[in-house]
Amino acid sequence: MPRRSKRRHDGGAVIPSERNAPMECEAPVCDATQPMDPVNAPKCTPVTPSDNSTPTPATSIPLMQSRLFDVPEIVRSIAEFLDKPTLAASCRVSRTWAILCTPLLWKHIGDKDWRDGRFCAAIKSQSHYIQSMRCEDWTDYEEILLCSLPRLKAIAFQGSKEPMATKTKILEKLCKSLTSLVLNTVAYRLTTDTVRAIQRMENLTTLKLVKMDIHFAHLHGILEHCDGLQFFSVSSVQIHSFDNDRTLPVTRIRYLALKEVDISLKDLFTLLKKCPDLLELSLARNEELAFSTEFFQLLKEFCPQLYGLDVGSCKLISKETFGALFATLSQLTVLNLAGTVVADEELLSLAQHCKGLVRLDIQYCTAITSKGLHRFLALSGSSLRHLEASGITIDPHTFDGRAWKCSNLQILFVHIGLVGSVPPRAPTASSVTSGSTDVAFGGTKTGASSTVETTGADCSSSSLATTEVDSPGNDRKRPPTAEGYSYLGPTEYSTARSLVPAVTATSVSSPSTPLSALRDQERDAGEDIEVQHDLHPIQEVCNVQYLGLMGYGPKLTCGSANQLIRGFRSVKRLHLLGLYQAFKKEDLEWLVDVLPELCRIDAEKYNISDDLLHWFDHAYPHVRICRHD
Amino acid sequence: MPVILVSSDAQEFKVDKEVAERSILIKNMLEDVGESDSPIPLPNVTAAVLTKVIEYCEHHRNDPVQVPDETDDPRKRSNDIEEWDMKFMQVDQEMLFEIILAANYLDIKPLLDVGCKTVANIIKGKTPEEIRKAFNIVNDFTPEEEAQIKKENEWAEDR
Repeated sequence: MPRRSKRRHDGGAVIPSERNAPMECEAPVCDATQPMDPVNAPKCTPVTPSDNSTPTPATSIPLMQSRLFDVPEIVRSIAEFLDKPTLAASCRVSRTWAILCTPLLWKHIGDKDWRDGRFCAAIKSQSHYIQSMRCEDWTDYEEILLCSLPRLKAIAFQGSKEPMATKTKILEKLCKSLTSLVLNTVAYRLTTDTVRAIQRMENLTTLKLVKMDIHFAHLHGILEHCDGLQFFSVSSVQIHSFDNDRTLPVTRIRYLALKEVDISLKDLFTLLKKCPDLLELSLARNEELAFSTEFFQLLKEFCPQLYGLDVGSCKLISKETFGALFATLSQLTVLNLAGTVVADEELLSLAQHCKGLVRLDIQYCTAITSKGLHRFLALSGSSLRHLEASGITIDPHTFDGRAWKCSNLQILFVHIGLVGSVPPRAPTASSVTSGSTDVAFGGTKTGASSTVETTGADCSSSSLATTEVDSPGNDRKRPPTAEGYSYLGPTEYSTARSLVPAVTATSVSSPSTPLSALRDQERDAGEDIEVQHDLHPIQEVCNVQYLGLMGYGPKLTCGSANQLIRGFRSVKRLHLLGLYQAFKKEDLEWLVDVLPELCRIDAEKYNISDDLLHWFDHAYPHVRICRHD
Repeated sequence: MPVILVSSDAQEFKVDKEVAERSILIKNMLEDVGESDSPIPLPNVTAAVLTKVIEYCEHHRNDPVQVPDETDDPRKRSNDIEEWDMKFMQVDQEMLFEIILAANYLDIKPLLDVGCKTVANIIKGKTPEEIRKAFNIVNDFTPEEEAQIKKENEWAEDR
């Protein structure tokens, strides 16, 4: 069963939010089936106008204050922003607060909550508040069986030594109320008992199976009985004994994910034919499935409403097929092409065909150059809001005079620097620099420092693809922590990537593994970052609010007059990941100065020292720095 | 075309339609009325508060309208308050509460959120007694009741 151990770079989902979402958010965006978020629920209770007719003199402050907390929906809205400890304290403020805050405190129960003995003692009397649960090793499964859980709508089982039989008993108990079920690595194969329990879940809208095989007859049974199923996801799953002659029922599935599933194109058709309502389809990580042009034509025919497609890491889609894909499915608005062979030409074709594109993920499409990315952004319309392009370098000196037209682009993740995609340039004495490393590899696991040690040894195997050669004489010019980094060229990278366990799944809100090249900015700044034309193209993009920068290259230092960052004046949140730089006081002052809207910086620990953080918090209370390990 | 809003204390405010429509209540009212230049009465909002609310709407007039699916993105949903909003919210507590009430009544979701985040930040880390003191809330529990609730929720309180 070698398939299970082989964890690969996750092409990512159609929906980037899935990376880090709590259980109840794992359904796709826009999912009308999810319980309505109370914060977003429509307002219906206006403030009582009774004491409003007279202007408020200063003496009536207590009256006014209590009036705010008399409006239950406002207290609830406030409570929505509280963490669990504060929520627990809020439950003891008054009876009203207890009524409003207690359900929120118990709404979602995570596995770690079970660690506290007081939780285990209290759960039985409070279990009626629980709406969702995530169960792993800490969870007391027997205790769940004893609890009354009338509101429990969503449950996720992941791993744990508890036998599947107990979990199946829980599922039987909950089968009337559950709308969402996640089974992740809980058994080798879905058993008849478990399937029988699932089939009785008449309200089920969301089903997610991870790393467990399923028999076709069982799949058939589930689709037949759970006819309200709208979100169906299987990943790292093998469907046994697929029977094309047995007619599947027509489903109401709107979001279908078949990631890393051992399935043939023919079987895929059998399934897709029965999903006429499909809106989003993920086929990520089906690395060995050879998609054809006809596949996408039939997809359009079977699923006319499809707007989201994820083919991340589907390596066997040829360039020609991509051309046909964009031309055929020009209605797509959400598209994930991460880790595919897509290059500049395909990106051009995409911009020409899919005019309504809202979200695009092209992480680690290493064939895309900075120039190609620039051309794409110059052609993209105002629909584009979110671009994930980590692993693709953005380098202003490759831009031509065209301005970016994507005026609504709000989230942008790119590499800053010269890795991978930038064509090699002849080494000159001044641009010869040291190597680099992939910081996020360490960043997501054991921290950057350990990466230095592990990859430092690889210096000798540094790829010369970028013509950057280590020169010992430059060491003193590098920041001290930069020493010992090696360069992982595109070839090394592709091998290294497969060794890294699904970085996207584990890293907190970082899109993926940055691959980076270190350049000695102090010297290169002048010649490399200077932009020839007067109007910087990025300045046209006034709405990027969340900017992710990663990798080596032009540094964010005050002296460098970094044109790139100056273009993004509306950035509210700046995410620096694997951006190899130890910030100085004046660099941060400069950043805050050039980004007037900035309110948060996400960086790694080594980017900003404790002392600097302390100083910064006092100097700029309106900007929060969040350091990640 | 500008819209005229009338506060509870009978002051008139002339604002651009685009700015006024940041309030879903006003937007709906304008849709119901159609083209009309009759002033819109807002009996729940005083002139002082309405001035602040209009200031907020002016500053955010070009903000993209929040698409529901994007608020689900955990990367976007956070307790962050941007600088301008944070400065805007630096008012005395009475005004802060009034702004929240007005945002709720006028249905200006982003302003309501910023207000609630600001209050949540004030509450964060406080004990029940400190919260009551800060907001002048009367403890209407019997000691037994409070002890019972403490017992039930203690697991979450200190960690």
